Amino acid sequence: MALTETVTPVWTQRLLHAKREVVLLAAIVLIGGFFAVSSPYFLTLDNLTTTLRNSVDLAVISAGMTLVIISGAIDVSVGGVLAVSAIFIGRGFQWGLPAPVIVLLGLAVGTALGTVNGAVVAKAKVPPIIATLGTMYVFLAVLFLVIGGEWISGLPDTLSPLVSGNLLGLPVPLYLIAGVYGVCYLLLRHHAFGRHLYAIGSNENSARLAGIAVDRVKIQVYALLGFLAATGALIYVARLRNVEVNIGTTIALEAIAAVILGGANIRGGVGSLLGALLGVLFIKMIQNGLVLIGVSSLWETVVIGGLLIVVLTADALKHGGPQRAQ
Amino acid sequence: MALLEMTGIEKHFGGVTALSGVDFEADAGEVMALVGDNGAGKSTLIKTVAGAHQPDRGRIRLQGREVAMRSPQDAWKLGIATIFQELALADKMNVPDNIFLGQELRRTILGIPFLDHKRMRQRTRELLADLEVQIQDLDLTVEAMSGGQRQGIAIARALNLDADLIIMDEPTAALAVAEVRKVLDFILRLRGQNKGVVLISHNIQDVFAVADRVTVMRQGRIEAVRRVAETTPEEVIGLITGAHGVDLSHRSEPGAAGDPADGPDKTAGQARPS
Amino acid sequence: MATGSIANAHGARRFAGILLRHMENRFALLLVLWGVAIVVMSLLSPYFLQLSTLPYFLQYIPVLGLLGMGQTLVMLSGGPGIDISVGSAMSLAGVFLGWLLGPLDVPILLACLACLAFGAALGFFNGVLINIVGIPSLMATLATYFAFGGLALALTGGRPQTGFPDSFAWIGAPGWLDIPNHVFVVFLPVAVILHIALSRTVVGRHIYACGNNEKAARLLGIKVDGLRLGLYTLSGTLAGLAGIVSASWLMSASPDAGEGLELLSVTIAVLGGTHIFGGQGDIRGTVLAILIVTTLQTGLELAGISMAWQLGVIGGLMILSVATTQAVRRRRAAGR
Repeated sequence: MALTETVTPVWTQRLLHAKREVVLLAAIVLIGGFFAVSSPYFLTLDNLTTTLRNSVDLAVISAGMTLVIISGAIDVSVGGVLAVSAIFIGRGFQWGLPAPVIVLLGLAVGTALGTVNGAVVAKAKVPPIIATLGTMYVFLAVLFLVIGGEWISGLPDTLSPLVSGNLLGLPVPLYLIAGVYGVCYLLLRHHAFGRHLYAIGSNENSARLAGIAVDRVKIQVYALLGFLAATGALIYVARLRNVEVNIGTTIALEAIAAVILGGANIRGGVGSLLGALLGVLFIKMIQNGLVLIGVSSLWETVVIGGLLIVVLTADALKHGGPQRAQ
Repeated sequence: MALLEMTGIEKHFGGVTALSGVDFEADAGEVMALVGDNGAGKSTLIKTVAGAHQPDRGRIRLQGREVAMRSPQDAWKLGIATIFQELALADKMNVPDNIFLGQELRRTILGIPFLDHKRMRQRTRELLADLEVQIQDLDLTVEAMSGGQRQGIAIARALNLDADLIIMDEPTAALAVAEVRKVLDFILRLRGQNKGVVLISHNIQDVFAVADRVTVMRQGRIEAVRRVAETTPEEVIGLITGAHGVDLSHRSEPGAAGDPADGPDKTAGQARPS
Repeated sequence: MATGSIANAHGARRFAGILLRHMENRFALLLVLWGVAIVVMSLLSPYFLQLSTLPYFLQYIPVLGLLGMGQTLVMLSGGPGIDISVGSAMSLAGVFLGWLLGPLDVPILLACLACLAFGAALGFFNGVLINIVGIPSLMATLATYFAFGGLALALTGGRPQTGFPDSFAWIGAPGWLDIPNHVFVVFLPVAVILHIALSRTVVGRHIYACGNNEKAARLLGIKVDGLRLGLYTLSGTLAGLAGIVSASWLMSASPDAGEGLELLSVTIAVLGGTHIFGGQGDIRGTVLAILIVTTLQTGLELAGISMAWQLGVIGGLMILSVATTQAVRRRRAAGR
């Protein structure tokens, strides 16, 4: 133990990790520049703030997804959680409940559904991909049960300031994002909860042996994501003032893509909130830019897929090829 | 009254009986070695003490008080620090995080318990210095570190707990000679602080170097308990493998004279035929 | 097929009682489930047990079945292996086929072969990303899910391809007993071949070995990466085949033909007893799972219950089946 070891420069590890956020930032600047040059509308304040307002739900959900992925899990049911929360919000309006009650109702529903996810994963020991796939189907069934194929539309704009309003000259969504990411950052870096997430994602068995209440932490992180999905539902309803049948179908995969782009490792133990946020902005910018330069929005997914492949390949090559299963 | 007393412990896994009617004890201010061949049940026994397994039968007493540990956290809280053979480190986390895993230091601001990174780093440096473990950069992830450094971190975690009973499962197995020396010195130091140490080891030399007593396990049972001063490596190895003609007559009559289950005091001083 | 739902219920209950004693036998459990599903569905709708329902019921099977079997093989070989791009691969292959048969007017057989090769290429791409570059399977196939699906959408402008030659419809057309031809010509042969290959050949043994203990398999000289690469390629080929069947049946290739099918294929594989980390599972279980799922879908549709309910039941079923398998495993480990 007294020998001085020369360890392979792990400052490269940290450099790589930081590098991802830097690379993303550089990519945003680069591609943003391209769009700015190709379309006069891109760099306008109006366009940028609209894009920002459109990114809030994905951004908020991606924050929660980052924490889940860091713990080595995944959640493909967030779209369903968002949808069911949105129905309750919509129904709340229809029942004439006061706005604060509606908000609380929506958040409570989302958190409850998230807890269900957590329980299935932690207590029933079902692997996260299977568990959340299953719960997604169940949640969607609930959605159909309540809506029955019809939209809830014509909702009042009580919540709209969340998305379209301004506070002290800055768009409210900015505060929302800052608030959510700020809290998540504190949880991740400055609270034992974050340590436990990293530990479980790194080596669940070690975490258990070290005395961490693994099951409880898992349920909590899923509940948190559920809470944030409900926040996304509030934003969604605020923005569109309706609840339609196909809401939230792709948001789970987009959030996962953003988090992975941002530097998280699907195996767990590694992840970055800033990276996820940059990933969200990157995705939304591409969606926005493509439309502005006249490229069909149908190419979005191709671009996202291609980017993911590049990023994942770079990651894998840095780690020296296939990780041999233990 | 011993620090740790386990009586009648039984543990089954499916059709396999890992432990059958095991009585084990360890005392404060002593190093009790636990030896036995592969599959003898040492790791299972230790995991039971560490709260990672619940025994199907049997009782565990700590300082005379009966305890039931449902999780490793219960064990940590009761002052039992276990250094598992697989070290139980979180590979992708750095040194302070690993040492304080599950025992994070907090600083309360406005009622919210934030992590006290500064104090944890400070304490990490102290612990590592104390154990003479050289780690240049505390922020390195532990997966990149050598066996000796990783062992040092695992020991630092146990040390940080200031436990009464420290259990070490094969601590020297993957270490170089100088590092082994450090671990053995550390064990003696713990004994000097009147703590109890349980040392599982394949290495009879290590056992004879630091242990006061040795418990031999074989096929899920306690074969014998000896004072190290009153036995030899050959006898111990014989007991481990069951090779020598050990007097097994006590086995057929539980409670007969000389049954190790009665506690070490009764066997102390009795020469056994080898 | 017996008529009269009450007589059927009695028989099914007795049957179930006998099989419940063998609960740990996955296969038996699935048979029971299927029996239960048939009973419940026939109670829900008088139309269910009629012979005329049979073709309607069977037509869904090949597409989902092919994807499910491909998924089973990918999962079996471990890694862990999963392919969530199969739906998009199927759509893209269908679009490719439409392009060949429509504007290019390539002979049908040639076009189908080319489509299969195309699917194989897509699967091969996945296989390379996962086994050579080293990207975890969930992530790699998530990325290709986006890429393939997006390509299908972008290249067609979101519009389904039509203009298939009339003779192409044969695959999807009703044949013997009004059962669509693709059941006999595509699904059954593929299922039989894959089952035999998996259970009776050396390659099959190797697949299970990779899934059970990768290190050991490597030490025994099994080319684990090559084998897995091949299985992803096969999964892609099956997706291409599914695209052909779907296109023939609908006489159009829609860019979202495979939408949601990737999740269903995972569901079917898991429901059929395939362990998500590999080493356990087989084609028979997957086939039974397909039957169960299609029974539920058909029955619920005949009873006028919407798609979402079907998915909800399937989702719940999947969780239950995995949870019980895990619980059984833990009970065994705890020695009870």
